[in-house]
Order: sequence, then C-alpha cells, then structure tokens
Amino acid sequence: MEVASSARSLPLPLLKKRPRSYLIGASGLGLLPAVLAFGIAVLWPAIAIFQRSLEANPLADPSLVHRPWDNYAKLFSEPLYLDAMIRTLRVSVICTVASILISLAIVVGLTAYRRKEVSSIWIFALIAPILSGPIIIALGWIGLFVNDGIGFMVVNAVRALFGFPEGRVLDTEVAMTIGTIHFVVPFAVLTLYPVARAVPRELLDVSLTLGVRPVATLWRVFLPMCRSGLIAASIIALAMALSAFVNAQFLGGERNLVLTTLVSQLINTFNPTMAAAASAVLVVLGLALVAAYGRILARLEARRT
Amino acid sequence: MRQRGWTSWRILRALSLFIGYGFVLGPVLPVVYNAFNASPIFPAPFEGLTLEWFRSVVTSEQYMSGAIVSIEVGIGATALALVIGVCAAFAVVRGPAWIRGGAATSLLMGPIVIPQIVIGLAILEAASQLSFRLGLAGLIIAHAVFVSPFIIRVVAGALEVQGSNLESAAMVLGSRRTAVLFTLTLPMLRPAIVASAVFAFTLSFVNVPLSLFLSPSNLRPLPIVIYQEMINTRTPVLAAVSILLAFVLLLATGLAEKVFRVRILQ
Amino acid sequence: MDLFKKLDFKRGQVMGNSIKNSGNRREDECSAEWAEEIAARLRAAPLAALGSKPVSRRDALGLIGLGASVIGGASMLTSGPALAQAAKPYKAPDGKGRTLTVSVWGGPTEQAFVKTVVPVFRTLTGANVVFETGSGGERFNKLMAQGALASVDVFINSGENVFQANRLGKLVNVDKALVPNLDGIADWAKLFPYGISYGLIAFGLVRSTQIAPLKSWKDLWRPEFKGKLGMPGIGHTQFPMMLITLAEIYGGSASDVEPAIKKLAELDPVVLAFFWGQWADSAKAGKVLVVPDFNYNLLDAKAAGIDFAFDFPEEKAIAADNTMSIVKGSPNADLAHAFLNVTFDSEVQTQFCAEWRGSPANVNAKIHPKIEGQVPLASDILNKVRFFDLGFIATKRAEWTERLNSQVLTKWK
Repeated sequence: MEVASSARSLPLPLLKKRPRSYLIGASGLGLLPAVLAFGIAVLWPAIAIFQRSLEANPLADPSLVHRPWDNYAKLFSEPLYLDAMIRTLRVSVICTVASILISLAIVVGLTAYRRKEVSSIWIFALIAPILSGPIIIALGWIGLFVNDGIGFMVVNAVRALFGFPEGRVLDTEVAMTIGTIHFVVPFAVLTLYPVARAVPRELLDVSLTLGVRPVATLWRVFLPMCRSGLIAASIIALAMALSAFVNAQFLGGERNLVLTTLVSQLINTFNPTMAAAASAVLVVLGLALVAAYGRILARLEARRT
Repeated sequence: MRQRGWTSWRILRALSLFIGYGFVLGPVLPVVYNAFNASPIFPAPFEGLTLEWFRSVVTSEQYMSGAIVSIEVGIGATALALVIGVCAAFAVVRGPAWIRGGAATSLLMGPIVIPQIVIGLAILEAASQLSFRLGLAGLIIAHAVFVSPFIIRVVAGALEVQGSNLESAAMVLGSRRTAVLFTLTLPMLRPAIVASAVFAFTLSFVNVPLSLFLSPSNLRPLPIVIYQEMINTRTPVLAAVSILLAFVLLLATGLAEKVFRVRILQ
Repeated sequence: MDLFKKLDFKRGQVMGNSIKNSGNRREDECSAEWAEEIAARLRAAPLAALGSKPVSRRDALGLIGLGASVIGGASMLTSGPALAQAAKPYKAPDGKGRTLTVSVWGGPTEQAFVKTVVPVFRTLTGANVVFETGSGGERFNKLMAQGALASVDVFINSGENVFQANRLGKLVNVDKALVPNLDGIADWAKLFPYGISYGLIAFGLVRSTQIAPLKSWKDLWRPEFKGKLGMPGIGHTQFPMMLITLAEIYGGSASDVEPAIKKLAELDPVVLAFFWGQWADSAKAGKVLVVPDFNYNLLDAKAAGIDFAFDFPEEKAIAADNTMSIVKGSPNADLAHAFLNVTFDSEVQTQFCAEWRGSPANVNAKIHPKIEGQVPLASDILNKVRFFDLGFIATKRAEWTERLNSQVLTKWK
C-alpha cells in the first residue's frame, strides 16, 4: 500500500486532467467479480447458516422449548463448546507461528545469497505431499504416530524431556497440531518464496561489502525485505489453520474437537442448528482474527517505515 | 568473498533446509514404505514387497475417473478464480481508500475462514431453493470462490511491490491503458499469477470439505474417493494412490517446463 | 475398491476349499447369464417374489413371532392384502435411456450392490445405475439440503437417518404392488412403511481369538482389558443403542442413560474407530484385544491377518438395520421400486449377502456356500440381537452426543 500511495504522488504533468484514473484499477471496479461471486457462494449461504442457528432443531424432540438465542447461550456456557473454541484458537496460533518459522527457514535456505535460482525440484519436493492432498498427510502422520512408530518415539522423547508421561500420540492435540502445520507449510512457502526471490542480490552485496557478516545481513537486510511476504503468509497460515478439517479429523479425532470437527460431528448427529451456531462463531472468529492480525501487522509496518 | 562468517551461514542454511525438508518430507516415508508393503493393513510392519496396491489404483475405475473429475474442476476453478482474484487484487491495492482499508481486505479473506463443510451444505440448500440443480459447474464455482482469496493475497502482494512507476512512464509516453495493462502490467505480474494459479489449482485439487456435499453423485473428485476409502478401509492402496499422484504431477510439471519453456514454480 | 479383489483373492486362499468343493454351478456367480436368468424370472412370474420355494407357514409364523416381540407393530406391510395384490402380474418398468441414482455407503456395501443387484436390475429394466456414496450422515444432510430437487432416487441408510428423512417429508411409503418380493421379506426387516431393511448385521463384542469368548457387555470393564480396548467413536451409528443397553445393565433405562455414561467414563480405550480398518493396526500389534464392532467385517479382518471373533453378549447384541427407502418426488419412482424388488429377491439376496456378508432379509434366501458357516441366517441370530426404537434414538441422538462429548470423551484423554 505504501508503494501504491507513493506512486500516486508522483509528479505527472501530462496526466493532470485525470489525476485519479491514470492508475489501472484505481476505480475499484475490479472488486465487482469478487463481490458477485462471494455474494452468491459465501454471503447468501452464510446468512442462511445464521438464520438456521436461531431455529429450533427440527430433528430433535419437538416438545423441547426453544428460544432463538439458546444455541449461542449453550455454545458460550457449556465447557465442551468453550473447550473446542479455545482449542481452535490455540492450535491455529501455534500452527501459524510454527509454519512461518519453518517456511522461513526453507525459503531463506533456498534463496538467500544465491546467484542462480534453485531448481524447481526443490520447490516441487515441498508441494508434492500437498498435491496428494491433506488426507495423505494425515495418512503419513498416522504411519509415524502409531504406537512404536518413529514419530511416536520422537514425541514421547520430547515429552520425557519435559517430564511428561509417555502416552498415545495419535488422537491427541499434538498430532493434530503437527499435521495441520504440515498442511499449512507448503502454502506459506509458496507465498513467501516469490517475495524472497525478488530481494535484489545487490542490496545484500552492499551490506556484505560494508563488512556486515552474512548472518547479520540476512537478519537486517534480507528478512525486512521479505516483510510483505511474511504478512501474507501468516494470514494465509492462520486462516488455513482455523478452517483445517481433514487433519483435525484424522489426527485429533473426536477426543480433540476443534470447531470444524465439532461442526462435522454436529451435522452428523442430527444437530444442524447447533452446527450452524458453531459455524457462525467460527466465521466471526476467523474474520475478527484475520482483520485484527492484518491491522496489527500493518501498524507494525507503518512504524518501521 | 574474503568476508568471515560464511561458514556459520552455510551451517545455518544446511540446518534450516534439513529441518524444513525433514518436516515436510518425513511423513512421506511411511506412505512410500507401506505402498510397497504386502500387508493389507495400513500401517503395518514389513511383510514383503508388492506392487499389488499400485496395480489396484491403476486398474481402479473410481480412482481414474476421480482424477479426471478433479483435474476438470481444478482447471475450471483456477481459471475462474484468476479472473476474480486478479481483478480484486487491483482494487485492493489501487482502489479507493475504503477498499484499501483493512475491512474490505479482511472480508476478501472471508471464504478461507468459513468452515467449508457447512458452506457446502448451505450452497446446496440455497441452490435448491432457487430450483437450480448444481452440477459440476456448482462445484467449480464454489471451489473458485474458496481459492480466490489466495490469488488475491499473492497477486496483491506482487502488485504492491511492483508499484506503478513503469505504467506511469508508459502512459506518459503515450501508450493506451489497455495496452499497458496487457503488455506491461500483467506480464510483469506473471510470476505471481502463475504461482498463485498453481496454488489455487492445488487447493482445488485436494479439497475435501466443499466437494463432500457439492460433488454430483456420479462425478466424485479424487480426494472424495480417497476420503471415503480412508474412512471405510484404511489400506495401502491409499498410500499407492498418493505416490502415483505426486509422481505424475512431478512428471507433468517437468514436462510442461521443458515443452512450454516456462518455469512454473519460479 | 480393487482392494476387495485383492482381499477376495486372499479370502479365496483362506476358504479356498469351500469354494472349490462346493459344487456350485457357476464360477462367476454374477455373470450376465445369471442376471438374465433372474431378470427373466422376475419379468415372467406373477408371483416372482416367492421364487423357488414358498415360505412355509411355520417359518413365517416363527419369524413374525420373533419380529413382533422385538419391534412391535412394524408388520403393517405383511398382512392379508399383500396376497391379493400379488396375484396381479408384476410388470417391470421400462428404464431404457434412464438413470437411477442410489445413495449408499461406499466400500463393501456399494460393491455388493454393484456386483449382484445392478446386473439383474440392468437386464430387467435397461436402466443405468449410478451410486452416490458417503457416510450415512453426509448423505442424509445432502438429501435434507436438496429439498425438492433431490439428486437420488433410492436412499439407503441407517434406520435413524431414514426415520429423520421421512420426518422431514423426503420419503414415500414403499408401494408393495410394485415390490412383490416384499412378501418374502422377514418382519424384522419391515422397519417402517417407508423403509425396508435388506439384511441384518449384528453389533456386539469383537475379541482376539487369543482370549476366551466374552459373555457380557460388562466384560468391557474387566481389569485385564484395561489399556487393550478399542471403542466405537461416539458418533458411531450404533453408539446410542450400546448406550441404552449399558444403561439398562447398570440400573438405568433408555430415558435415563446417566448410569451408562458414568460407567463408560471409567474406560480408557486405545482407539476410537468407526470402521474395523481403524483398529486393525493396533489389533495386529496386540494393542487391542476387545472392541465392540460389527460381525460382518471379521472375514475381511481375517483375510488381513487379524484373527478376531464375534461374541453375542447375553444382554443381546445390537441389530444394525440397513434400510432402503424411496425419495419423494423422484422421477424414477418406478425404477426405484424395481430396484428394491430386485434387491429383495431371494436368489439375489443369497448372492448379495455373500458379497456383503450380512444375513439376508428374505426368508427364502440361503447362505451362499462361499460364506457358509461364517455368516449366520437372520433367523438363527434373531434371539441374540435386539432391535431398538429408532425414532426415539434419532430424536435423542443430538442430546446424547453432547453429553458423551462432555462427560465421557473428556475422561478418555
């Protein structure tokens, strides 16, 4: 956004007659297809979901008394639902932080100080597991996390290190978190990679010539230049972690319900109205988190520049 | 470079790549190993080498037709999402202030955080109320909407970095706006567009929750076939299918890069 | 699905002798000739339903007695007028150029239909059949969301889902004039006027053959099984039935399941499974010795090297109904009825159950030599299984799931 506004303030004597519209896309009309499509496929169904969340469950005992706010009252009072919401938040925040760190490690390793671009095999190796789908990731982690599997041993070694007792890994929050991080990492990498690659090599050279060591150059020059990519990647990571379903289902299971698996369980157990209420909460939660996050990062950026 | 400090950088780089790639590729190991393991249970200790599971996939009509449906939906959804996403990216970066502000931007991210499993059902219901029978087109539109936020993010990011100085220069020199758009702005955005298209296709190709309710009865996308198998029978066939998938995509990308002389991922 | 071919191959090894020596007249039972033969019989005979051998009076009475004792009043479809109607010749609908969509569970059930019912149905009507697969809940929700524009004609699901679908006005009553084979269907299978079961499977105690047979649901709490137990997920179709059974054992009732919930919370299962494949690896590694599950999967499990057996608890196992129904407003209602009719034919049932491994619902169907001794006749296990009030359970399920989630799953960490 900084770049855009600075472009607008360029002196352009020849274009004075149409100062706003010389910029392609300045009218904002580009939003139209998105508004149309989102209206049909998101807004309308979302409103229907909200409506449903206020209704009485048509599949339950019809003699039960129902007031419109009952589902929400229950969501915010029953420990079961509160737990699910808190777990959702916890898992997605951990996933965001971890996946950003991991993808940063990968991207920096692949791009920093390289004159030639890395072969696309490297990138492909990252997205190949994802291309086969989240189910395969779940399958892979199941293979690692089964009793006496490698992942099982590693997790329990870490647990022992911190004094926790040994135990099952599959069907735990740990497994679900790791699986979700794995699902998110390639997307974070794909977001971050083009930005990191575009960092001009000359800038790094200048820094190095001035005597700054490579690692310090990385920290003070390279990373700050990746900031826009980091912002985009972390928002995508957060959003994907919040709405992750398959990994939560197969690695966390019923014992570690997050909002998505809770919703799935509710609609499969004749509770569509409660499912609607839980979805509405997830939507609001997600939008609020993404908005707040975007704002915080934008403010941070404004302060730095 | 005479400079000191390169050793520590090299160690750091090796370490970070090892950890990063180890994490991403680690879970592939049990999948590969079980795909060749003769035991019909997943996961299981080694019982002998077999290619049976691969044969099962290749001769299975439902996996093959599922792959075709997924490719169709993926291409359709990516094309549609590119239109939605690239247009919106321009509005987000260069539009009037009310769009550039945080609210509109986060609303555009909305589809990502909406639980797809429910929205899929709700779309089906909405369409039925309008007496509109959703076919593959419904699935494509839904996929497009839900992958477009990623395109918006990536393309908007690139557009911001790119700035508009070159466009201004071109226009100052007398180029028409459409010419600038198609010969300058979009070609410059090409890496971002291609990257985000790969991204979008991938997301559509692996989507489960939307397709769960929106796929037409006889046209099940591959992830749905796999998902149902995962629930019904957890077998090494699933491992084999994933390996084949990754392998075919690797081959296709490599071939495309050679044939079309593009760098798809870079 | 090809996995099943593989398993079939293995199964052939396990039970190879029985297949080879059975002297069965066809190697490939569901060949085109077989389909043609059945179709011809269905087309020609006015009383096609009764097939080769009519129901003996004694059989029928015995079954009615048993069925009525467990599900009161479900026999509205088998009364006198059925005979009067059956006298009219049955005419198969012409389905050339039409497609019937059948909603069914993917996996073994879908395959059993594909291999046995579909060839006959196709030969009989000329119509094409496509399947919509998914879990029971998914398909129920899809049907619910689609309103008047349902994409399926035949809806095959658990009795609860069928009950709820009917409650929302999505189903029609089965017209027995169009399904003459209904006459051969046992009373226990006639769950609702709109939903008929095509076979019976039992949900009871599955245990490793290393340990002695189990006698009671209470055995789940035996100390030696602590940490060696698998349990169905609480969203499992049969969980509420198990809950009622346990509630009654521990001093509660269907309307007071608290004792069962308290008792369940004491368990600490290793895995929560919806399908045997989910506990298979633990069972193979010896980490699971006992798990409540269906009887019909055990042959697959055995083929995969898991030697587990099924026990009927003395408090009775749970009868799992697999119900066929016809969707309201279906443009293919005639074909849908014909599909039911084919499925309920005694010979088709014999073949179908050989693939599916449940007990046939048609009293004239036999146990195929292929699965002789491995799958019981429904009449042999009717006194060992219990049928439940599905309508009651369906309306209670949401509430019970909530309670199980907060009171039991939190303890099963």
